[in-house]
Amino acid sequence: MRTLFSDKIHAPCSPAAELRPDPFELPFQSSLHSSRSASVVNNWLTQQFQNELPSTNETSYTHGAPNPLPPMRRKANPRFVFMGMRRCGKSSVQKVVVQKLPPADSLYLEPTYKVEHATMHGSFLHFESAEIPTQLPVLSPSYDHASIFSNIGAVIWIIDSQDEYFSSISELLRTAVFLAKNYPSINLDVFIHKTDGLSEEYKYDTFREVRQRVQDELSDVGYGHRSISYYQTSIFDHSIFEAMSKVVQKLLPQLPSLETLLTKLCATCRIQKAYLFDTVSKIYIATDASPTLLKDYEVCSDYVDVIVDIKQLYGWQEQVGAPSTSPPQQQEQQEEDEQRQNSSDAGLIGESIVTYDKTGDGYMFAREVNDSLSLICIMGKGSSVEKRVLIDYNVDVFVDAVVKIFQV
Amino acid sequence: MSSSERGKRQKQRKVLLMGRSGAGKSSMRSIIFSNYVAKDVRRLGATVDVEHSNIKFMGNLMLNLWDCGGQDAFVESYLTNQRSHVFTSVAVLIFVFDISSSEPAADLLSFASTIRALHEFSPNSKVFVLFHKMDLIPSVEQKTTVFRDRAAEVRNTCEAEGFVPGQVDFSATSIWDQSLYRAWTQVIYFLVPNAATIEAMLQKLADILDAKELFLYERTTCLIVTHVSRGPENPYPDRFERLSSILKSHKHSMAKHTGVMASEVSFAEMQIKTGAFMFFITRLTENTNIAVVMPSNEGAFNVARINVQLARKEFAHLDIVEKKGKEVQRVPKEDLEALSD
Amino acid sequence: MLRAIFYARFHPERGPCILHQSPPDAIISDTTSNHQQQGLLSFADVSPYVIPAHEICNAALSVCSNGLRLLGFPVSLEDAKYARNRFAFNVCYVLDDDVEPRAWGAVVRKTACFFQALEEESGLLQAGDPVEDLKLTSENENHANYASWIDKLLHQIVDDLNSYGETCARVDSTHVLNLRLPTLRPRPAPVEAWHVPLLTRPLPDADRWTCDLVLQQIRPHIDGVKHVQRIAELADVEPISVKKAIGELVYHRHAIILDTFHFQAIYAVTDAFAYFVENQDMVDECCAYVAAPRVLSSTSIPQSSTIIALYRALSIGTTLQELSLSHADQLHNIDIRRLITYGVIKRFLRRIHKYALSIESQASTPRPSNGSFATNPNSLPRNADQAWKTAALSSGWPTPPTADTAASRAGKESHEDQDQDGLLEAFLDVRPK
Repeated sequence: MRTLFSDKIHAPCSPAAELRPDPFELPFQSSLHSSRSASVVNNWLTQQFQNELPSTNETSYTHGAPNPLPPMRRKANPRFVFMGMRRCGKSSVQKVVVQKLPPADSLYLEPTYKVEHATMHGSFLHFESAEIPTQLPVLSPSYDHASIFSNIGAVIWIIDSQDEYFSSISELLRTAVFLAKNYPSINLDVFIHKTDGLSEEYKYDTFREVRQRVQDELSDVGYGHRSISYYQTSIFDHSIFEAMSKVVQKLLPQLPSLETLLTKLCATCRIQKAYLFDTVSKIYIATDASPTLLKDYEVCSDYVDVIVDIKQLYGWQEQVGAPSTSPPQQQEQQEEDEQRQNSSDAGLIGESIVTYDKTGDGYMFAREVNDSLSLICIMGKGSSVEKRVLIDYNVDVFVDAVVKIFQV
Repeated sequence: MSSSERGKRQKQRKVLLMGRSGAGKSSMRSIIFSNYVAKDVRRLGATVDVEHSNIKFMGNLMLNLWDCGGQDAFVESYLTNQRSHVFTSVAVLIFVFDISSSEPAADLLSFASTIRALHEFSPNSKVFVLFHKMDLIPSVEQKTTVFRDRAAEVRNTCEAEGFVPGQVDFSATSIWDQSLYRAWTQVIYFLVPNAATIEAMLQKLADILDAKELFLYERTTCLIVTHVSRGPENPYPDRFERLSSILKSHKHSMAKHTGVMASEVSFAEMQIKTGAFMFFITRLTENTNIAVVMPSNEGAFNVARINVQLARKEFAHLDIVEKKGKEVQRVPKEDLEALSD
Repeated sequence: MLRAIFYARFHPERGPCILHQSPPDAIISDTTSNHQQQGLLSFADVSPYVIPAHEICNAALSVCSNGLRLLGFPVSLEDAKYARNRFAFNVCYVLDDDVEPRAWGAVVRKTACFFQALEEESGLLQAGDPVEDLKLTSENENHANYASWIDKLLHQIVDDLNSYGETCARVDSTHVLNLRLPTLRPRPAPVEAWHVPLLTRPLPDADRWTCDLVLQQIRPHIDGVKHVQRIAELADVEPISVKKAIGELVYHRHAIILDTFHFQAIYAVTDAFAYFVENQDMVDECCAYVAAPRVLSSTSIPQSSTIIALYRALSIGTTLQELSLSHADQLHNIDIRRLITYGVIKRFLRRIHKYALSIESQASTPRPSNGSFATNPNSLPRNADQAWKTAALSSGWPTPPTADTAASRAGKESHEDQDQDGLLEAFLDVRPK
């Protein structure tokens, strides 16, 4: 338990160190050691916390995806609820992010009148979400709010930035105060939504104004210490996924360890940016410590799409009794999941490389950790082809580490 | 399409893109040839008169695309003043019907007079009829019935105007899915003058590589020129248009990331390895890329990559000088066999 | 001559079509139906030019067809609110093809800009568009009958431009189209500082023209007496602006240029004087005009016979000074300045100019440095030149023309040479030195 892969770490030193000692300065040992202990502490804390407050077990940290989980463990998935004023886009966000609705179709959604639950299937995280319609008096003392808030990790409040938002802010404040009083462990995240079509300047002004106002008012009522995160989102680009990623990451106790691992990997292999993707939801559960740019995330996310789509088209032979007729396109998603499940059983881990330059300088690299988790790297300059062996080796080590983190 | 037709080495093949106004002609042209994404086409304006564009395919195939504005006044002038100018030596007419049109009778009338003129000046041309905007019809069953009914109507019109059934093809398309690529892939396949030669060469290559599937696509449009498959049938008959669509959107994504024009983006190589298969795409000729799908075997995969590189110059040869197929194939065969073991 | 004018636009379903024209049926829009119809030209022949590809819109175009010239200015407006994101139209003028198109260019351009402004500011073109409601089949009958504001506007433009060369067409209270066909006359000689402008036609009221500030400033000072420099000083305007403004007035025949009134000047009647004497109305008008202001009453208006006698007394060699001295009693109720001005405006009086002649000297003698004038005839031209300068500056006479003009006139005005020489001598003698 002290060093999970100590023998593995030392192994490359003998053959590889002679060739090129630099990239193998025991990149993982120290970090793993510290991060493991951090993780253990974290687990312990959470367990303690759960013992005290059994109704608020907010996080999941136990997913060995290769072994299907017993159903009762699902309770511990990341869970969150969407709240906000009427027509602010709660249903759209939930449908687009969790249920993979094409964004354009969200224009035709009917208003929601009761609490709507949604679960992401086939994803690494299995996260669950619920949408609370505006007219539901969830904050009133008579309402059974425990049924909603008792076991969630985060409340996501959505503000329509294209509409008049002051009433929404006052509702948000009521909710924030309510949560701080009754459920202090629940994270509160604010999405300043529908930013597509707004000018950069206006977008920024709105963002700043909302944040300033909420923070001021909260301080006035004495909850200024409670941190709330703010994001600018739109379902028509990748910003909603980026924001959801951040929300989900805060619910992951393993995050610090994962981040440290990725940062080490990037430094050793001259990777410009690395993401650990949940393949199905395209939410990234961790990235390295270098500055995160939306366009890096976008290109990686699109790259995941390309790989998943191509795998779907050619990964069919593993299926026992492959469908003889062409599958209807509406069922693509399910088919895809099914197939991935089957294809991964073949044992060989998937990987992919796109090279843009004939010299091999600057390329993208994808590597499956397991069938629902992938590592996507944008390689920086100078990581040329001859270093590939070292990179492959380091990535192998990294993947093992990640798998073991989640298997605890 | 007969071999004599293919034997004709026309430098330029004239393709007419016609249909009533607002049918979506310019939209599909922009998506296929100008790297537009589907949601951008609503910014397009109406086409005034005829817009010409030349697209180079496979070295010796030059598409000469006439995007003809569909307003009544223009159509009338195509059929009267410009009749011989427009309809002479046409290789392919692509006629686009708006499936959601409020005046289907007028559409059919316009189609009838168009193909009458076509029959007069280019009786041997091929007609592709596209029923466009299928996304506007909600249910799948409805789509099939509407398509069947409309196709029957149009087929009757064609026969009345003297076109034999084999000369006319029907497709249902929409810019929002890959059906557009399917329709255009058919058009391209028809137009490639030496498709048989290329296919034969690809078949040889596939045998040597022991690949499950090989396909060749044009780099700008991502349209699949031709393909060969070995082994059991793939359950996705629509995979080629889907690949076109996937590759196209990847191109857009990269363009956005690197900040260059979508037309300039191209990757040197893409590899995907999984337990089930291995896949790579690489450049084959000046305008085309080749994609290889093969069983999962690391060693064979690397040999295949080298073999494709070696085959490149033979295909380049094919691009520039027209040779008899046999001469061309003899050389790579030896080369490749030497390497394949 | 303006044969017709029409408004065409690009219709998203039907392509280019003519919506309004004046006179009706001037342009045949449909080739298939009635062939016997008489029109100026067929729209099908020219439509690619009337509504061209949007890349070459927003520029003037000119097409000749069928012995006619088509002048247009296709406008293409891009906005998401229009069907197919674009609204293209053109207002074309149909002229005979021997008409000089330059004169019309500005009119065509202004009409296009006016229509564009109507659409951009008020959306009037799209709103008044009958096509949207029309069915394809009933097209011809309907838009001939359809009387919209555009029809009326076009009709008025054709009528007014053909009859008057200008128009002021009103669409509503805010949109007025003012057009004037420029007549291409040669630019008059540039206005000089010593010229005296006189209005021959009244300028519009001050409340109707407010655009030209210079004109507004100098207007009270244009009275046929003050010269340009003086006007500039009084109105506190840059002389160069005053010259420009007066040049425009002269070009558009609102004003004429006079010499400075001077008692040393000599005038003579021309042959048009006979016409003046015959024409009693003109003589009466003249009497009323020349009456001195201080005695302006019906009784003391000068007699027409007196006026005619005074004009006849003007002759070559008689300066105004001499005239006013010799006819002082007849001039008591007459403003002599107005008397002269009237004659000049009506062109039966002309000024006799006196010029010095430059005689080429065989050798250039150095200028005497003692300050006294040499009597040497060789130095005469130089002295004369200087004398003229002095004289011109003090009297407002024209500066001497160049040698060759003088030479060309020499033959014609040889009878005056002696006078001039004599006068010059007189000038030289009286010169204070």
